[in-house]
Amino acid sequence: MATSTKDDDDGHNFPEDLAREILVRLSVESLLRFKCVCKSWCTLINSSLFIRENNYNKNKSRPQLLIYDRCADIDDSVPMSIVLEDKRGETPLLAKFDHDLQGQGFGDLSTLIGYVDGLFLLRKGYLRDVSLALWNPVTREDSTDD
Amino acid sequence: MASSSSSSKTGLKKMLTLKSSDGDEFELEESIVIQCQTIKHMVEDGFSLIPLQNVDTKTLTKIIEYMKKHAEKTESNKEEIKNFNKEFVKGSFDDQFELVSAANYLHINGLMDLLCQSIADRINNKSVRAVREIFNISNDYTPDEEEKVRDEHKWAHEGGEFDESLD
Repeated sequence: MATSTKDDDDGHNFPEDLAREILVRLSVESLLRFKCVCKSWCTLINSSLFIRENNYNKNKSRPQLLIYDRCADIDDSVPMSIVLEDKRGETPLLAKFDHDLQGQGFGDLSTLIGYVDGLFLLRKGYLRDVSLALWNPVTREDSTDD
Repeated sequence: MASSSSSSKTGLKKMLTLKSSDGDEFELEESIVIQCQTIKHMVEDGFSLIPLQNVDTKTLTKIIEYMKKHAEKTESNKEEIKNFNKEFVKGSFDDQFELVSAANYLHINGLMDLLCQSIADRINNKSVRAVREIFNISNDYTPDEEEKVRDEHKWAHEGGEFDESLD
């Protein structure tokens, strides 16, 4: 099986349906890294169906995120941190993602407004000087809307 | 399961023969083999000699070992099955890939799940380079393209040391 494709040199040597079954069980961090393996893996990992399946697997087997909305008016406090547990639920890991938000000016004085499906809506500022950001801590992506 | 319940009434166990791609034959009880969806469908269609052209003897022997053990599964031997599974996934990547390919072809869902999860756990912390080697994938990016993809999620490449080993 695998040997018959050994000399295939177009980057599709490993059957994609099998690769998919394996990759869908990886952590998001590894998937983002393995987009660099080859183009077909990148396309697969970016596909919305794959993302949904990966997400489903996570929800099945992994305890999800806990977010602490710390009182932001205390100096040098971490406004947002997240507790991740590994998939066997044995090792809680404390991950501080505040630096991602600092870049967007959301590190301080931000308030968590709400969340859905692992996306968080944050608010910064008061009255007319308010901006909002949508934040995905797992991919560490955020989009700001002023 | 209709056919196996009727045979257990008479005390006779219905036997099936699996034939590997190397031509070796394995005789097994139907109740063990029907964990495999592909074979189950063939049995329902009346086959009793089942040729498996995509599965060699070495791989089929392992698969039969798995099916026999899992046919014994009860409420009381969960720990034993767990230990068996742990041993079962210890082979080289190439052996595991052969097994995954066969489990996929034969539609043995439990085995597919076990193997894919174990491979995923083993590669989770590997470097991109190691993964290419393990899966025998050639890099089809130009250096510029690869850097662009890397830059999209730079942090995922910077989380400390990644495992470069190929086992």
